[in-house]
Amino acid sequence: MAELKKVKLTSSEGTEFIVDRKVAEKSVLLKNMLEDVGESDMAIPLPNVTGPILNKVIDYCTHHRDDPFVNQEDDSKKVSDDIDDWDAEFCKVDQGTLFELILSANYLDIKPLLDLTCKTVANMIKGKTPDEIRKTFNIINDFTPEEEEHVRKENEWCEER
Amino acid sequence: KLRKENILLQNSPTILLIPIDILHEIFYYLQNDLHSLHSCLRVSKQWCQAIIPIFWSKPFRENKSSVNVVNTFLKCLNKQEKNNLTYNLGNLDDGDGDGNNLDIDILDDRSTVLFQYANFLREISMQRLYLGVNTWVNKKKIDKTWDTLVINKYNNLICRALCRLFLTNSKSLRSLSLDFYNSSKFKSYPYFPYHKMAKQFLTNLCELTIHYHLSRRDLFMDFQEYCKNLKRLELIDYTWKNLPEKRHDS
Repeated sequence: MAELKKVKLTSSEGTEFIVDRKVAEKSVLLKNMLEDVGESDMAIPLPNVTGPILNKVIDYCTHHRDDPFVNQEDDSKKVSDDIDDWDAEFCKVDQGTLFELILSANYLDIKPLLDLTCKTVANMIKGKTPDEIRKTFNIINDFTPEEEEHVRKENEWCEER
Repeated sequence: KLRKENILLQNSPTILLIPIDILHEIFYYLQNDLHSLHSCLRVSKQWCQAIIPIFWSKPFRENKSSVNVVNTFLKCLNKQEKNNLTYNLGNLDDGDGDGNNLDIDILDDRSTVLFQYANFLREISMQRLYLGVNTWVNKKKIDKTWDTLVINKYNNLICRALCRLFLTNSKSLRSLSLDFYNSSKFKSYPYFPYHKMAKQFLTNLCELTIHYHLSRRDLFMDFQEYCKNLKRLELIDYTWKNLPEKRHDS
């Protein structure tokens, strides 16, 4: 049976990971690749993903291996407070890891993981002032005070209660 | 030890490396939390650019006064529209004949905008637009004794200028509500399918709502010509009696 087939992946440092094909196929990139390549024992190189991050990604895909594929196009239904316990625990990582997970989920095309990590970042932003956000994410303010005021003024309506 | 930390810092990705389309994904989760989004707007230029399209996709919202939205949209008018509007507003007869009726320094040529905000519109409700303009006029009027008839004349001029702005700039409109049922004074206005930019303006429309008690034009059929991507159509109070038989089969 095709589902029991194993797939070899190599991280950027060359570490080899062996996973069930079903787990690998959570990634649309890998799914397409496997379909195109067909039966092969060759390891698939993932030069954009480091070993520790690939490990996390495989954890995620293994836990969610039986989830149905959902195609959510409707932006208006996006909410950030529907994260279950396992996923919340999974996202308790340092910021660097979180952003690497986002980039990897994007590269590997794993929509539910991208959604989860983006939601986590959205929740980190909630309720903060601009300064607090800059501090949280180490962002430098590149507005001049005049520019910032101009932006604030033109978008004043959002502040109104 | 210090060197090691530096290397770590350089190698660990920060939010700055997140591409703008993914930032967009993140901000979409905050789209109903205007307060947080407004903070994000002022974090940096990159964030500002990612958030502006979200904010201005539906600027006329419930529980939000639209005075400042109208203000910003008026600043988005081109030079000719600004001049025309200033001229026409000045010529409206409010009874005292001095031509000095409305505090409209906002239409000054020098008040420029950072973005063409009308580009980002995805939802328009005519009723909310009209109510927003009405509030704006009431706030800006110099003579506080105007009756509603006078105010309506001003409302109409401004609404029409804004509709032209939307027609010429918005390319990704998803939802249009011609919900005039409370603002009967604005009857002249379902002209969207008849404008030369109608095709571009209506082509991506998914939701059309017509709450419009008026029988003189066959509005629905005229919309049909351009709205090829409609997924939802809501008709309330629409009068079908003028529907030409020959167009039934289309």
